[in-house]
Amino acid sequence: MSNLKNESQIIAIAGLAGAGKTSWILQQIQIATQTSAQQIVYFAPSSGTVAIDANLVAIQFPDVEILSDGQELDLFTKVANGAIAYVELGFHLDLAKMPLLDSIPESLSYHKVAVCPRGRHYAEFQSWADRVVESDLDTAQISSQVQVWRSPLTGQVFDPSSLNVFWYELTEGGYGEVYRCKGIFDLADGRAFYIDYTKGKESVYIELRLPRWLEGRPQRFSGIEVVGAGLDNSEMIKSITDCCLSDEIIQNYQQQIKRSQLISV
Amino acid sequence: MKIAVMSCIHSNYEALDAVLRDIDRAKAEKIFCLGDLVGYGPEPHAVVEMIRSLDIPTVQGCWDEDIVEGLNSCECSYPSVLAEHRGRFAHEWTKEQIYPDTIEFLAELPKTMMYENLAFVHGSPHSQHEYLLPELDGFIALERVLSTGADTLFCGHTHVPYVRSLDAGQLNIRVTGTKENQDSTFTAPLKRIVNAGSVGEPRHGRPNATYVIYDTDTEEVTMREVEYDYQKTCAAIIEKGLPKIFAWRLAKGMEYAERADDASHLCERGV
Repeated sequence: MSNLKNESQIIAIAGLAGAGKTSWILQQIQIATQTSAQQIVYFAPSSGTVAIDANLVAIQFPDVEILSDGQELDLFTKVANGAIAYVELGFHLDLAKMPLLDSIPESLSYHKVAVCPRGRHYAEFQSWADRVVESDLDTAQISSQVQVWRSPLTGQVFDPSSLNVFWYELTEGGYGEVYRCKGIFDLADGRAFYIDYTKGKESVYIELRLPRWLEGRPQRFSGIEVVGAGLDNSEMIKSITDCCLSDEIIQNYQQQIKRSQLISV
Repeated sequence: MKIAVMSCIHSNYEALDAVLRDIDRAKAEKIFCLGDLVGYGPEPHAVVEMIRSLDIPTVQGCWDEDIVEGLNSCECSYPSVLAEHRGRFAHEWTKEQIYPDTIEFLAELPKTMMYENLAFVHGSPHSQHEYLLPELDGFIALERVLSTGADTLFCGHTHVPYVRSLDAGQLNIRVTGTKENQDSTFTAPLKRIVNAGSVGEPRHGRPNATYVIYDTDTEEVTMREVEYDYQKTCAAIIEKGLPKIFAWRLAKGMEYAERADDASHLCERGV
């Protein structure tokens, strides 16, 4: 995936679930932050309260400004003042009906990028985009009946072994066919992880650069998003609930970690 | 004489029925059962009734014990809080399903059985909850067999079948506290641990039931893997209100809930 030049502009990115939209944006931000001091803005319209991608961008790049629904005018103003804005369009959005894109002032530079599986033709994205970026997503077995299930998890703390079992069951089809799932999870030792799965690939586990949360239930974002077919939402909720720790156990873990930190100091 | 040894049926009647038919075809003259008749699966009463009606010598498994005496599991049982939630749910469900006389039958099961130079236990001679995993330290494994006085120890509980030979084990013992410390060395004869796997809750990556046939004349052990209509059991799991994920895991040969697999862990509960 190649990069775009850093200039004041809006870059809208679209593509299938799991195509690599967020990865491409993160790559662009990485390059931009290394080469200039230009302000960077990220916006994912209609991502609701479980904005996993936005939170991932915010954690990985704390200097990036994250905008949410209702802040579209701010986005235009920031770009007019020299910022570069990445607008990530979820696969569930209709590209033909995007009031945000239709209302971009003519004075602002605007590019449309589609992230598409290598060697495959997706007319919807390719006719829309100014530029197509190829990714290695395997779309051969993705059904046209795609469901999306999201759940906020803020305040929940996971037992790591249980999360591993649940994630295995989830990605192997225990709750329906899963094409894509990702989430941010707080663990018992105070660390937070981003886990990302796309059908046909290994899950990716990234420890997030956040301070360990050792004072009760974490008051920071965590959540999960699952894209698939025939998803059994109630069974997923049951299993996720059973993976989470009680107040008492959380407190025990936190005290142990604090003690071990004191010893190591 | 051929004997059949089976374990860990876990309320899976379809699997038990298929294994009994296979034992019949294999012309085994005697059957021993290593417990865990109930738990997780959908037909606890039918399984116990079948074992009882055929008068199959059976030892008490950890699940059978917990149903009789209340859940008193140690850390051997649950490697995660998810497994614990699932185990507790299955325990309560099973308790509601079975009849008082079934509980009485489970309560009367012995914890170990002997037949000639063979010993039969559920987990280990030390505890029904202890896992004799194939990677267990050789000295401890040998001690577990020697403690029974048998040459071959049959166990289950891990749900993965294996045969482990403990040959020419040389034991060095130092007796301290006397005037002079006394060292003595002796060589133990060939001992074996045979794990019969699981009839109703396999953990070998396929849904098929496993058990073993042992020839008392040749000492040959034959692992048997038996296909059965596991989808019938899966349908019964869902129909009876057990977690749907149990059906999915059974179909994958992954057990209903994952088990501890730390070979160095020794159960602190005695028999």
